[in-house]
Amino acid sequence: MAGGISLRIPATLESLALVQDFVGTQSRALGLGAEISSRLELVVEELVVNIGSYAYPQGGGDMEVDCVLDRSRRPPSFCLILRDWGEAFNPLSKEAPDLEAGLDERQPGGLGIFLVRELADHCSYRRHGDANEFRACFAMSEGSAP
Amino acid sequence: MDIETRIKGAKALLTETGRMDALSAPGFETACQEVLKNGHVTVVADLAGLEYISSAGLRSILGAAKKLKSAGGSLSFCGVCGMVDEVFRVSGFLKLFTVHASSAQALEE
Repeated sequence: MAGGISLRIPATLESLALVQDFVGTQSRALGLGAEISSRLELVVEELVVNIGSYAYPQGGGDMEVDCVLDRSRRPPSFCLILRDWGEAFNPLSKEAPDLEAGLDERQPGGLGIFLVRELADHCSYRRHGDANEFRACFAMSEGSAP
Repeated sequence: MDIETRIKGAKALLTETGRMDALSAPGFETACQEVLKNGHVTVVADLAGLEYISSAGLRSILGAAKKLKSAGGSLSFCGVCGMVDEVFRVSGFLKLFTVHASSAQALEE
């Protein structure tokens, strides 16, 4: 796996623009195609918002952002890794929202993680020591990986 | 995100440009509440200039749509394209809402 530098920053909404800049720069350097960039931005936003509300409901914690190129995956994938040191929380255990519900019954919650799962090609979660680690991977198009 | 409001007869056309993310999304529900307060319950949102939407944007849209519906009106869309179209499709919003071919058609109907 080829990695780069990581970013450690307070897990708040105010950090979102910095995280987007960091991930955008890293993903371009690792050769991720521009056609994936808005899907990636959405995944970044949902995960940052999620850490703020579930890992640190009282606020005041850090998150760490890593971007790596995983050549062990077929096809090679760009992977975004987010770590926090808050309460154990597996976003993948959340139930998917009812997409068939009418407007009156439709609940506003749960769409964020659902979109992450749908728009990334592969997601995984692990509790590693006292950290939550979430990984979202995007397949690179043929020949785009450096 | 910028929202321009235009009143055409009984309907309100909200033209959104920019990004509808966790920071800006509540602005859409607020804009809908404004037109609702002025008695316009049928709102069309033109999203042709919207480059990006996240679940926060979808939440704001759902909140606005529920309020307009309970006032006897509706929320519909036009100009849904690019990643906004993909997010609408994946989250079932294309089935939940009417999407018009153009703003002209939306205002005529």
